[in-house]
Amino acid sequence: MAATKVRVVLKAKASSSFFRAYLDERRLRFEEGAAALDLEPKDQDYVLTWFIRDIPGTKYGIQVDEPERVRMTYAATLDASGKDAGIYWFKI
Amino acid sequence: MQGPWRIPAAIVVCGLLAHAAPIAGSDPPDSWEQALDAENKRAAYSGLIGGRMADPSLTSPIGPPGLAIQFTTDTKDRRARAKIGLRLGNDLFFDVKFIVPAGDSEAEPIDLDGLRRSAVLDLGIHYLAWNPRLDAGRAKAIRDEYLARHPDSKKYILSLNALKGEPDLRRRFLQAITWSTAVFAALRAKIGRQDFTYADSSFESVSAQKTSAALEAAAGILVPAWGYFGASFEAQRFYEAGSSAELILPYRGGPAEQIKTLVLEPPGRRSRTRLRVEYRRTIGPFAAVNPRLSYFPKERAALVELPLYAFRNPEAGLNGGVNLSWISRNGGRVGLALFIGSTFSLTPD
Repeated sequence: MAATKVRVVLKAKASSSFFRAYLDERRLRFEEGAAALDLEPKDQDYVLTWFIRDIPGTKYGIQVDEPERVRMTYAATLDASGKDAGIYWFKI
Repeated sequence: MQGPWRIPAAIVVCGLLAHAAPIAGSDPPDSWEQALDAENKRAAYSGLIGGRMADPSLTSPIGPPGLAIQFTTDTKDRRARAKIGLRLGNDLFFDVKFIVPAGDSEAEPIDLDGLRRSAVLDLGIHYLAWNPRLDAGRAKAIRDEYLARHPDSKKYILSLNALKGEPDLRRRFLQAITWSTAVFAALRAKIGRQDFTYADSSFESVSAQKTSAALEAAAGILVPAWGYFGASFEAQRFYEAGSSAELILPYRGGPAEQIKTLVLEPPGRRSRTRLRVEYRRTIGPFAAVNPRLSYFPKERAALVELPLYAFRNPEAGLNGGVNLSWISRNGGRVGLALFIGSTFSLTPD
């Protein structure tokens, strides 16, 4: 019997052209700042990665909003390098 | 609209923000997870980022795919601009700009834009490809090293900003990232309308409205360590007012005379092409440069521009500065202008 899929909702706020987010190396497509995916539970972690390039001082953020047990919030302001990247591991 | 009175506050705000936010997860490294419950975290996130985020480029890949409007004024160009952006896909964007001359500038434009004095409808489509990658295996090794150093940590997030307290791990994390070169391409079509007034053979005033047009193609790459290198080609067909002269004419048919300055010929149609190469990059946290070299084959003229963006608006980012320019025409002319309203972006907007 196939495992029940779990809805994962990610949200992002970034005004930059140069913002990308990937889940297990698959690019996420955001609609109005949110991306929803139905994921199958697996033994290994899901890996969320994100990247941004813009002028220093640019603010941005990314959230895993659902399910609640893997919820996370990350927000930052770009420093003089104008770059940031991050990774988040979670299990469904 | 932006005004110069907002600049000092903008610079101060920018200075305060030029560091990773506390809720980024690293300052101190784990305290945010313990100190903030879910609701407070969301509130802090919303407070930091804001409920609405201005997007000067209207090209955010995660923004709403609907319409957005922005208004800018530019004292250098003395033009007002409204822009509507529409995201067509992850990497494809469409926008429409409405540009009108704001005020009657007496200064002779130095940049040879034939549509400068026209009200312009400017339609553009542009493509941006960028695929950075992070080696998750190497990142996991860095996380394990971090957890070994901080056994009480529950860290499942790593980021460049959040690793500032661990310079060696940050360096390794940076090495695990492939930033990749971004590719940019754009096509623009412009239609402009301009009113002209001139005197006919009996010195009666005649008004005419003429339509100008231009096509522009641009492409470039954003190299991670260097910045943006781009080239563009533009072809314009436009109208220029005829030459004027001062005439001494009878005043209302009587014996008195008056001196009138009249344009004595209808506007003439012109064409012009422009080749341009440009470079864009930020300099530290507070400035950016966008040097441009343009060549006009028909006129055999070269134009060098060196805009230095140094003024910051909290919503629009770097949107003002000083532009030093030089054109080879007429033995060479140097221009120096202060501009406010043109927002700097890593690629052409």
